[in-house]
Amino acid sequence: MIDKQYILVFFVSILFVNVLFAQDLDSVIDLGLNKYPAWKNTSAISEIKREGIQTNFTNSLVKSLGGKVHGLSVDIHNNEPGVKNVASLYVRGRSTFSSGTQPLVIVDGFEGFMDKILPHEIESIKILKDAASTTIYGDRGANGVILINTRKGRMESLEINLNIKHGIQTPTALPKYLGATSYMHLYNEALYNDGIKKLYNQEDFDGYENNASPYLYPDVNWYDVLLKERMPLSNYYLHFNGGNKVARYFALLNVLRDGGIFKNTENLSGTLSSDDYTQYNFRSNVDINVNKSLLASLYISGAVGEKNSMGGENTNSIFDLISNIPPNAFPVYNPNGSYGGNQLYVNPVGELQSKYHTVDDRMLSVNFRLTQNLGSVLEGLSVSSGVSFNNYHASYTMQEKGYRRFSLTEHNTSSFLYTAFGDESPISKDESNADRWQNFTFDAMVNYDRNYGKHDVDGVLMFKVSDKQQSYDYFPYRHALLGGSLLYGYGEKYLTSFSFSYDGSYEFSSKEKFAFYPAVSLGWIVTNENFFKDNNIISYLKLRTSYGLTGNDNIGASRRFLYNEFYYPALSYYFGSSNSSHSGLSESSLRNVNVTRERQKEFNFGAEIQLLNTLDLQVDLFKRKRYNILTKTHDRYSAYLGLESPELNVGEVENSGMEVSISYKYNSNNFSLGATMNAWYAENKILNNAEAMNLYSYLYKRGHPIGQPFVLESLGFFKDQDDIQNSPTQGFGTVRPGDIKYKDQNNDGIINDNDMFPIGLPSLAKLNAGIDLFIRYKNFAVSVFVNGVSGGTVSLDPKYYKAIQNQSNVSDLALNRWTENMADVATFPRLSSINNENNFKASTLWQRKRDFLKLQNIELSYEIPKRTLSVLGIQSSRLYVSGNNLWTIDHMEGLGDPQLVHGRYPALRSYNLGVDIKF
Amino acid sequence: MKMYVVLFFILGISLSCKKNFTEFLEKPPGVDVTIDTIFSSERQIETFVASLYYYGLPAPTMPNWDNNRARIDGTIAGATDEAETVMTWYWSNRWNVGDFSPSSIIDLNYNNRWRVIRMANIIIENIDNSPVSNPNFKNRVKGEAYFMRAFSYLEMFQRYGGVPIVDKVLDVNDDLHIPRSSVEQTVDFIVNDADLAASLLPDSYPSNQRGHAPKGAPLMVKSRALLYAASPQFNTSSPPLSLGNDNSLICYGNYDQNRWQLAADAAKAVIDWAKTSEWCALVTDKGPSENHFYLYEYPDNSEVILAKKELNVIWTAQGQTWKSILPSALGGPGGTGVTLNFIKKYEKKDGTPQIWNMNGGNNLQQLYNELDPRFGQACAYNLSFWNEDFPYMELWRGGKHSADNITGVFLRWPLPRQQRTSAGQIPNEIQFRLGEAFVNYAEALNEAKGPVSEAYVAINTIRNRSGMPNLPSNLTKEEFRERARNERTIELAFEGQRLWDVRRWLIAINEGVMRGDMWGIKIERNADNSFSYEPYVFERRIFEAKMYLEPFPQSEVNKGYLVQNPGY
Repeated sequence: MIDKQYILVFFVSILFVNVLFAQDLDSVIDLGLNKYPAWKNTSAISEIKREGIQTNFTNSLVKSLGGKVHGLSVDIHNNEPGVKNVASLYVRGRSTFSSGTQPLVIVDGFEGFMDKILPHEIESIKILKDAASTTIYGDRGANGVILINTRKGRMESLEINLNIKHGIQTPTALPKYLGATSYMHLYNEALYNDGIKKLYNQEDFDGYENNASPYLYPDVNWYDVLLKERMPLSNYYLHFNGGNKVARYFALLNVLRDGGIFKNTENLSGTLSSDDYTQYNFRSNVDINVNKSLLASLYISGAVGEKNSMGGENTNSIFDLISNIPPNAFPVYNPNGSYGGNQLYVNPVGELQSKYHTVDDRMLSVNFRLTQNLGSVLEGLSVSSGVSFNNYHASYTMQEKGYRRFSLTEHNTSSFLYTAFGDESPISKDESNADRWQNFTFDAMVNYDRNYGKHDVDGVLMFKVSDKQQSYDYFPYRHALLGGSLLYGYGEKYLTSFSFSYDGSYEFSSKEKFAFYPAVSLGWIVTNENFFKDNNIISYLKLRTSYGLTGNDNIGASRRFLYNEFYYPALSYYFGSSNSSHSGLSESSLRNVNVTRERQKEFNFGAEIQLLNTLDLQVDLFKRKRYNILTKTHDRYSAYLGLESPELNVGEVENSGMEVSISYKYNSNNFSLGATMNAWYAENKILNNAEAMNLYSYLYKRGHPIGQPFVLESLGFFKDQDDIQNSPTQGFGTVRPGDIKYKDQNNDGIINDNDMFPIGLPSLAKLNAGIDLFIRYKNFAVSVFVNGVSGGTVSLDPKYYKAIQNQSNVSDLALNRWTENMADVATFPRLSSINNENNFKASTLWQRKRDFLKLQNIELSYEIPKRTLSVLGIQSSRLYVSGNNLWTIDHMEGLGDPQLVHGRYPALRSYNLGVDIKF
Repeated sequence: MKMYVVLFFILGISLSCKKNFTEFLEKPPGVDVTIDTIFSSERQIETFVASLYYYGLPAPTMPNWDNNRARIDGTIAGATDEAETVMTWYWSNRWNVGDFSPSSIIDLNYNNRWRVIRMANIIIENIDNSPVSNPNFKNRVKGEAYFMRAFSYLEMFQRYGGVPIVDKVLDVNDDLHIPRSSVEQTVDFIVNDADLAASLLPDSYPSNQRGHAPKGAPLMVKSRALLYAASPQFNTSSPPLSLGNDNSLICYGNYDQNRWQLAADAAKAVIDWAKTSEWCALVTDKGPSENHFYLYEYPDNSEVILAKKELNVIWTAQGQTWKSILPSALGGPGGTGVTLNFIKKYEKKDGTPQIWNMNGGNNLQQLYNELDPRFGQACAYNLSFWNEDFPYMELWRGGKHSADNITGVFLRWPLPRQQRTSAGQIPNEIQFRLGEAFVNYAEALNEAKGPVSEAYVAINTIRNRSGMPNLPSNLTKEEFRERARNERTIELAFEGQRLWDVRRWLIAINEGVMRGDMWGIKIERNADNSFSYEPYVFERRIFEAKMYLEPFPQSEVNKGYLVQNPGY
């Protein structure tokens, strides 16, 4: 660990400077960093304020940003409350095929952690997109930067805000599986198709018809048995905000409770438990003017999460299980109260009640900063130094016990035979797993901001070190960065800026340790020209452009420090007549002494326009090229190397697109109207990925976007044996009429993996759009948020279509299966009880368009007139009802949410009722 | 003034920090194992050498049970007329149906072998500069590296013909587009490495170091390499399939009788070395009906020059490594059957061919009892003794051990009799044994000089120790060739050699060798407790001329500098 004495040196020196230069200045300075007035901006930045996020919030900040702010795509992959990594974030789409795609998150000037922060503690979020704005972040700028600015105290008297929100949530769509009798009919049909004797005879169907015995003739819908129809969701927060010239504070307490989805959740010891998530947040942001030229800021925040889950560490295994069990497999409980089950399947309720996992995590973040105004030395000069500690710890507790499940057979009319599976075992507890990281950052900077008549100069020079340690990693992640920017403006018309960074990264050899990133930008405020002064239509027009270099040192290498050769302990060999063990040593992939970071060149052109003083328009066009992408090379090294091919920085991706934002505002005493439309588009193309030579040119990933699906092209179903005879041979097992017929892309007469053709689009949609609408009439207000994407493809999860495979369930997709009579209208291949690889290869049949349009949020609110409440000391209060994820148009045919196609924890719709009171 | 104070202050801090931050961003040295670490001490070098053996020695007859290396199931004997592996998914069956191609090669160790060559090159390039002072140790390790490189190239030569020569450690910036060398260059390279290794390696090891290659091992590599090089497949101007102008990659381009002499000399060198080694000798003292058993039942016996020591687990009969050879009735998954095509190669004890009536007969046990004693020491036939747990193999239709009995006879080599359900044996897999040198010598000398007396002596030595009479004198060169080949086939039966022998002799394509009808017998117990047999064809195998050489992986050929073998 680095010697931290220098931090003290910096702080002491600021205090020393303060003593040296302490004198009264005319006014208290407000030292936000880089607080350019909007007109000075020459780079592509999008911004969203708290109000815009709060209404769309259910249980996660990341999820509530989806569609809200242009240039930021949110790809949700897990909807379970309280899990880590709920979504991947992409600024301007994907620009690299390596795994390091995540944007840098900066909270109040320091690297932060977005998972636990809540919208209520945020003032605004900015997305820095182009090179001009991200270049000073050095090795971590290329994926874009998310700047979170938390709420600070205002120089006003104390305001207390209490907000209470209660809601209920319900799944929007669950996979639909067939009931027992339909399942049995289809199973018999599958057997018939395979030329095997029927399994279920008339007696079995009669059993169901006559409701003979729910034990011998079970018909269980496990979704009904396990899942609640409604789950509670609530959020409470209380914050204090106020201050004066000496000190300002913002303090917040928030409690979020998200009820779990499972019922039947008596836990291991028999007491009722649940699979819920609770999160407590606190924040205390204090700014103190020590004297008139020295500002001290102390921001402390924390979050405590407590996640209880039944049936496993997360709900995935339960959802996978209940999507597989046939409805007639076994009853939930046997007549004697024991769990039903069979050899193949465990009992989902038994699973819930015998596995209880908890995750307790804590995050603590402390930022401290001193800012010294040196206006007395040089007007506009200030110095500042800050330090930040972020700390995260999660501990995992697993309690499990073994249980028995019994399969039933009828012994005689009054009794059953029980066959036991599984073993009883006492509760075992494992608390050994933990996860932690800590992050330390220190910075020091000089700011200069001065106006000389027509000349505006604005400069910053900063130095920053950061050090992150995390569990399961022997070595830290470190950076030392020198960066700065200088902006010069003339007459509030012409702007030019230069910014740079010189960043050193722990990841690379001393030869490649440091990288230099420059960027330039230009701006022209056309409307400030004399010839434009009297224009009534275009009230504001700024044109700006930027070009620069950024980097990414999260290169997705198979191991860190690729520049070192790496030998790992190999399995033993034996010597001596009694074969005694000798440990071995084996060389990992070939070292690459030149390994370095990804770099990106980006050009941006933007315009900011205001029409008629009311309609704002912002347009940005970009084109970027990411190069030096680390990629495993399959195209150059031969096997003679004797090792796996090295990873080289030879990958290249081109990405271009645009962002448009249009907003309109009207405000009067009784009526306000606001509308914002955001749309953004990004399309990438792999230029080089060092992939292996292919026999057929269409097999190359190069030239396609990242994540391009390669699938077999379905031509429908084989009509009859003649059709099979006259078609190319399909190499995935014997085919029969009703099986999927694929296109022979290379006309070699054989269908195999060489016929996987690039069809469809990557799952991350190219086009994102969101519309926010706000209308207020007197005390009533309504806000609406609609969100949509277009230009993406999803592949259905096999659990939806692998009917009967491995004794599994049948989803209602199979109702449109191929039979001889239904051959013309079938959308699903013939059923088969045996492994039918042919029908379940990745193919166009199982692709769906991702495109959707969602009514994400509506909120209706009523502002209670002030005089009614003033007697209670209440300044204002607002009642509101809201709904989230209310309605969707998509191509999913009711199978689930287009954003969550894996058939696990479902997408939820919620209805909320809330009150917001300010004292 | 104040301004200067501040500037001075900042400058001072920056300078004091600079060194700090360079260190701050530097990964601490000395935490990783590098080349320097490996060669820093004998102990570290031994670790690297252990992996050299681990990856380097092939396993043609026993499956590897870890995923780090290519895994073959069962024994490769099933690829030829020696045997049939019962389990259809076993590796050898791919040879039976010709199921391999450039996109799915048959040589699972292709990449692994290059790894071994790299490791050998690392040792060769670095051992001299190692601070380790013991010159004997350094010589031994260097000799082992040369030996392993020679052996790896031999393994490639017999599969592919000429291959690219990689004699240095390749790095990222090296040109890896090395073309194939000619057969001649490849053989010369192997011989040169083997000579170097032989000059560096010791004659023997103390018992706790057995498993390291002694001097005899590179001599055996040289003997085998020159024998293959002199054989009809390579010692010719007309290979089975032509590569046109690139024929030098798959054959010598002419026939030169002297190549046989070189092969004979190399084999003789092994026999001579054994005499001076003071430990290496043929097993002759256990008696004709036990000598052959002893060879494989007792690890590190005097005839074993080098064995692969894969495990130190004492596997019982159910044990994994040998399980794949074990018949199902004895607890294995199916077993390996010995074909009638092969059993017909066993002479009678009097040195004359056994008469098998292809229409069947009633005298099965009599026919068995008349055969070469090595038959009973390698094969489990009806009523033979397996071990104490299974004293009588009941292999007739309906017999206790007849499950999965395709050919009528089960392979028992290399399962020791002492390996039982309750007790076991450490498995060692023979790579080179002295007996091979004698049959190499006899074959090569006959080709070079005709059936001279030294050739008779060599082959009769092998025959006599298993109770077989001398070959008749006055054989012609052609007659001696046939007898020598047959003797080699019987002596080295199932040891993973025949797949290469039938290819270098260019007889693999002949009916009943690797192509065409494969015969087994159906056994019936008669009312008088005698046994009758009925030969039948259990399989029809495929062998095409292109299969004399194996295909290189398509992915490598696609890179544009590797000439594919003919027919692929």
